[in-house]
Parts: sequence; structure tokens; C-alpha cells
Amino acid sequence: MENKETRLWVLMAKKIAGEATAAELNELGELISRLHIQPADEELLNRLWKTPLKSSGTPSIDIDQNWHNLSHSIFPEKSHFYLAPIDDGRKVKPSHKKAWLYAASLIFIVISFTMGTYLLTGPASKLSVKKEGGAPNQVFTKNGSKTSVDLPDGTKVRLNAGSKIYYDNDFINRREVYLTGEAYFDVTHQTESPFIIHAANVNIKVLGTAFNVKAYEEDDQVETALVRGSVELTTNDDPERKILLRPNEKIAIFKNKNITDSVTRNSASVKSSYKQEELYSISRMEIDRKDSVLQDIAWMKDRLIFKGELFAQLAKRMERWYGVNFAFRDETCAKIKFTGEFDNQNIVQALDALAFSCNYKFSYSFDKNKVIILPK
Amino acid sequence: MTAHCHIKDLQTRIAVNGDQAAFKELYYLLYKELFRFATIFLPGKELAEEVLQDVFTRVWLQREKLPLVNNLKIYLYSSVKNTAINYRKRYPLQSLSGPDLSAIELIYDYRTPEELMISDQMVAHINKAIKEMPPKRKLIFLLVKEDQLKYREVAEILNISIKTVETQMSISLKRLSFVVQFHLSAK
Repeated sequence: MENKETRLWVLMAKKIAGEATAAELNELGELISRLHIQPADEELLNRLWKTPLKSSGTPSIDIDQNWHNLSHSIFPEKSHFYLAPIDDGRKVKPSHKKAWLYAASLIFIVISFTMGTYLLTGPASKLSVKKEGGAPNQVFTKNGSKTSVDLPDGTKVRLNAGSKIYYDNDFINRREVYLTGEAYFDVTHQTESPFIIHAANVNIKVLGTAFNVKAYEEDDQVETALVRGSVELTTNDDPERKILLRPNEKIAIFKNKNITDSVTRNSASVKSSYKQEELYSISRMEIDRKDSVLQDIAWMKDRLIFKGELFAQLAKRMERWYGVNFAFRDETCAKIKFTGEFDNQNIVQALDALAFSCNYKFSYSFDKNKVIILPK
Repeated sequence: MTAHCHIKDLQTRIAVNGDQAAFKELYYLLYKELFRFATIFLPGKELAEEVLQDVFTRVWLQREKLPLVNNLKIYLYSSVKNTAINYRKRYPLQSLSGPDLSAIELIYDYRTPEELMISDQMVAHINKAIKEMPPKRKLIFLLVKEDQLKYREVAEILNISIKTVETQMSISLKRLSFVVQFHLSAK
């Protein structure tokens, strides 16, 4: 049996906290009169109890912003359903009831960037998986080929041509992968364990789901296009600063530069209009009118789409697409702009189509695997 | 009681109707308290925010199961605690021996001291008493007083006995009462 004074304080605390039963209140009254202990002025204690405390150590929070982020990632938005057919090999037919599920379970990201260490040299096989003690697991594809990989947590990855992904043996505990090139991810949902992609100096964090990452060394910028859901980006240079992408937005972060306040959000999206002085730029993604395929993930459908793209840029993509090398004999040819798309054309058909569309401003010849572009 | 009924009502609307407005209301209703609770287990604002986004995301995605939850408030606190502890395991650099309450300093925000008959000196002493509470007692005090949780709920969330909550609360109140008493008699 606890001693009477202890009991008194237990009851007193209960009374102030509003926990005491009628019987306990009676008991408290009895104890007070019997023990001659007068707890401090009850009225005052009550008022003190009801005065809220301030936690000085608690940082200020932006509930509105956090709500915005959350609601964007979990509530479905009808305009996104056109994406369903792109989801590789998977029949996604959003029913009305299950609509929320797709919004929560599908995220696409496209990223392109420059990576200092590009290991795709030499006559590698189409797919190579290395496993050594302590060394990260690697999967990579040569130019001109694609492959699929299942990660240990069940995440499915489709690698585009000329791409490499690696992850630690510790992957199952820390879901982090490193990517160069381009890949589509269908991430197994694990609420406690976010999935993080490191791409050059950019880190992308996703709490669930599916996305596409494009990451090639030739490009001067990291491009991330988010189709659905929400993802958070940070750079190694400024890990404190987080950028949250909204659906259908695309961000381009220029390499070797920090993210600063010079951000723009445009409704128009023209890649070539990014000015050099801008460190990053957010714009809307473009949708191919014909079948609502987002340009950024057209590769999933074996399509190479380009709009107002410089030949030099397009050539880089064709190099990966067809597994060839381009050589421009003349700068003027590199500056020709093209708009169009390739589906199943081979390299010769593609080059012929390009030459035709610019009224034969250039001609080409082959030297083994090299395509030489000559002025007319 | 009304607060409890209100949460119950929101819970039903979310579970049965997939009511986004109800979900938003729940979020705004409990965010601050849950956020502070999360910071007890995790250093840094970002991680605590992440934990909350995780927990609320899960509640929404699994809302069909909500009718099985007896007390949503306890469920949320417990989820925040468990998720936060899981996070801690993944960030070994920041691992701490126990809940970090040093970051939480309790300060009486007394705007009308005359009305409360509280002197600056008394406030200073009350704060000192609160500050000197051992972490576990402070946490219990915080949950009961600030978050207005029932003893039973605190016990469930922290996985301790109601007896422990009673004891810790009685000690807290006794100390505070003595501080107040001392200042009143000194007048």
C-alpha cells in the first residue's frame, strides 16, 4: 500500500488533469483534511495547468506547405490518368474507386545529366551484373539495347540504352541507388523506407512508387520530369535546400552549380530557352497530342521524340538509341533544328528522314560504327 | 469528450466516404502536437516532418482499415513514435540513447501575469522545475498537459503501465505545487 502522502499527490494530479473519478475526489478530500497538507492554491494550479506552454526548442513549422505536399501526393488528379498506357507492360485501368491508388503508386521522373565517371567503354555485353564482396551491385546496358532488372526489394527497373545502375549490398536496409543514363523505376512501396536515387549531384527521394530517370553524361543539365505524385530533390552542394516537384513539372538543374534562389516557374516549356544564368528552371512537361505520351518517357514505348532540337543534341540521343557515334564535319549542320519522332526506323531510315526534312542541308556517310555528317 | 467525438466523426467520414476535407481537418487538428511528439524521438525538423507525412499518407492509403482503429489519436501517436524509432535506426549517425527532450524547453507563455498572480520569479522557478524533470517524466507531463491525453492513452502510446503515468504525474505536480506554494507564502 502506498503511503498516504504519495496517494494524495496521485489523486491531486488526477484531479488537475481531469482524470479523477468521484470516488477519488472524495478520497482526496479526506486525505487533505487528515494529513493537514495543503497543496498549493488549487485555483492557481488549475489556471497554470490550463495555460499552454511554449516549446522554445521546437522549430517553426509550415503546416500549410506540408499539407500541400501531402495532398498533392495522395489525392488523385483526373488529368493524370492519360499516363496509364505508358506504364510498361502493365494494364492500368483506373476505375473510379481505385483512382487514388494510382495517384499514390505511380511517379515518373525523367532525369538527364552529366556524370564524371561513365563506365560504358569497351565491347561490353548487353547486360552485365557484377557481384563482389563489399562492391556495389551493378547492372548496365550498352548503347542500342535495353534491359530489365529486379532489385532486392522487389522494385522493378527498366534500363534504357547506355545506362548503368548500382546499389550497395546494404540496399535492403537503405534503399539507395546510383544511376547514370536513363531508367524507369517501379518502386515497391515501403512507408518506413524511402527510395533515393543519386544522379550526379542531384538526389531524388520518393516515398513510394514508380518513376523514370534519364541520366546521360553528355548533357549539361540534370532534368527531372515528374508526371504524377511528388518527389523531393536536393543537390549535394546544398543538401538543406529541397525542391518539391508538382505533377507535370519538369526541372532542369545545370551541372556544377548550386541551387539558388534564381528559380523560375514557367507555363511555357521550351528547353532551349533556358538561359545560362539560371541555375535551375521549372516548366511544364510537353505531351504528345497524338496519344498523350509524355515526350520525356516516350522511350518506354520505343519512340524517340524531339521538338525543335539541335542536331548536335539529337545526335547524342541517336548515338544511344542506335549504338553509333556521330561526327560533324561542319558546325552549321550541328545547328540545324529538328522536330519529329522515330518509332522503329533503323539508323539509315532515320538519317534519310532527317536529311529530307531539312531539304538535304546535310549528307552522311558511314565509317564502321561512325556516322559522318557532311554539309551539302 | 467532444474533441474525442470529433476525431471519431472525422475517422468515420474518412473511412466510409473517403472524405478529403475530413482528412484535411484531422491533419490540421493534430499536426502540431504530433510534430512536437516526433521531434522528441528525432533530431531535426526535416525528419520529424517526414515521419508525419509518412504516417498521414499511410492513414489515407489504408483508410478502409480505419474502422478497426479504436482510438485514432492513440493510433497516430503510436504510429509517429514507431515510425520515428524506425527512422532513428536508419540514421545511425544521429542515434541517441533515448528520447531527446533537451530540445524541448517548456516556457510559460504568460501574457497576463496579474490575472494569474504569477510573478516573473515564480515563472522562472516553474520553468526550472520543468527543465529539471527527467526525460520520461517530462514526456509524460507534456503529453498529459499539453496534448491533453488521458493517462490510459499515454500509457498505451509509450508502452508503460498506467501506474507509471500516475506516479510520474504525481511527482511532477507535487514539485510544481511546491514551487507555487513557496512563492505564495513568500508574499
